[in-house]
Order: sequence, then C-alpha cells, then structure tokens
Amino acid sequence: MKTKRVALDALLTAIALVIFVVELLVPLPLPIPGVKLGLSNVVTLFALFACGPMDAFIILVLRIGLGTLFAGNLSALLYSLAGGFLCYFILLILKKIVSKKQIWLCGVFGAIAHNVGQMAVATLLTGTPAILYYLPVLILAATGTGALTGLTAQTIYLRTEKLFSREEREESDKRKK
Amino acid sequence: MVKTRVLVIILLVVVAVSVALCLVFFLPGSGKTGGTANVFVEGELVWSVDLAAVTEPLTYEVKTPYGTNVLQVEKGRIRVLDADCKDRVCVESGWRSAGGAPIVCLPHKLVVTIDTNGDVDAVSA
Repeated sequence: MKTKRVALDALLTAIALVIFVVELLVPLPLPIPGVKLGLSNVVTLFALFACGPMDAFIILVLRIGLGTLFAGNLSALLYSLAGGFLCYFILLILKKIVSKKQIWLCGVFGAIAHNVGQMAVATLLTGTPAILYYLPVLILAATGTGALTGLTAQTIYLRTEKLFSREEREESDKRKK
Repeated sequence: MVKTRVLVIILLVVVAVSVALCLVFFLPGSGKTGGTANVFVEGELVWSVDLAAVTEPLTYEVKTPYGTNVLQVEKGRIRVLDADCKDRVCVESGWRSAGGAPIVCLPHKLVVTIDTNGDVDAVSA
C-alpha cells in the first residue's frame, strides 16, 4: 500500500476518533447504548468518495473498534458494529447511483441505516419488540444529523476533490505501467 | 445517476411515516389511567402490576443478571427510580403511563411495558 494512502487513512481515522469521543459528551436520552449523534460519519462519507470503498471500510472498522475502546463502553460494541456495517452497506449501494451533489442524501440514508441496525440488534438481544417504539424517533434524529454530516462531507469533498482525483489518476497511471 | 428529487421524495415519505408513528406512540393516552405494567427481563415476564389498583406509591426491586433496577409505582404510572447501570437512561425516561412507550434498560435487558387493560397491541405482545 502506498505510504501516502496509509498516512491519509490514518489521518482520517484519527479525525473520526476525535469526533467520536468528543460527541459522547452529549447524552441522548434513548435506551440504546451507543446511540450518538453520529457525527463521525462525516469522515466515513468523505473517505468513501475521496479515497474509495476499501479505505472507507478500514477507517470505519478502526473508528468503531478503537473508539469503543477509548470510550470505555464495550457493551456498545455490538450495536455500533451492526449500525456501522448496515450504514456502510447502504452507502456502497448509494454510491453507485448518486452524484457528488447528492452526498448529503447518502449521509441521511446512511444515518438512518445506522440506527436501524442498532435497533435491530437491540431488539434481538432484549427479546422485546416493544423497544421498537423508539424507532421513529431514531429515524427522525438520524434524518437531521445525517443531513448535517452529509452536507459537511459533501462541502468538504467538493472543495478538495481536485487533490484526490489527481491522486487516483496517478495511481491508475502507475498500474498501467 | 438518480435524480435528487426521487431520493428526496423517498426521504420525505420515511419522515412523514416516522412523525406519524411518533405521534401515535408518544402522545399521552386518551385519559386512560388504568393499565397493567409488565416487567420483562431478557424477554421473560418477571413482574406485573395493575396500575389502577395502586393506592399508595410502592417500590419494587428487580434483580437482573446484569444489575438491579428499582421501580416506583403510583396510581396510573410507573418509573424506574434507581438503577446501577452505567447510562441510567431508564431512570431518565421518567414516568410512563398507559399506552405510552416502554421504559427500557438495555444494559440490564429490562423492558417495562404498559398495556391498556384488555388490549395487548401487536408491538408489545
């Protein structure tokens, strides 16, 4: 793997981790451990479009793993993983059909998927479908925060994409040689 | 390339449905003071109390394999008074009465539902 790519991914992971840990200071009165504002998804979204699906996946897994470790809430790991993976899966699908001006929409649907994933795991583990009462609240919250993170990611990407497209062209040139 | 409009419409439908569900789930029940509070741990019913029959406030301790929750019951409503879980979301949930959303303590796998008498709706069954 190119050193530059490793460094970039590491940098993005660090940013995601800082956001992840800091946003834990905001308590949300919802009975699902690990439910947060989900602001660190800005990085996941950005990485997906600027670096590629593989990089985004690595950054996501590292963020969830290390972040949960730093936050000291190991029981939330399963919920975060479920949410994160479902979100990533949806993002992968959306990336194929969406243009760069619609990244914010990816943010919204990704955030919704994230919460649905967490809720699904919570329902399975408690064995009580009654907690699904909170799903509409989660979806509405996800729409809001998803739009926010999506717009942020989109804005940043549109401003910096020239940096990354040059890189991709260099890489594909090297591969052809 | 999917048109933005299509995705936005899908999103608006999801939002509209969610808002509707929120109103149904969380608006206070139409003057129902009765109801039965059912306490589940890991999906199994461990305690049940008829909220209408309660005359004086009482407390009940629920010991789960993961920790303890102390419930407080008054006429027509119930809440988690105290719990030794880390986030104490259950305590923050406050009072609940008939027809409302359940109180959940996920670390303890505890769920308190309040069913209106005679009706057990599909979600909490």
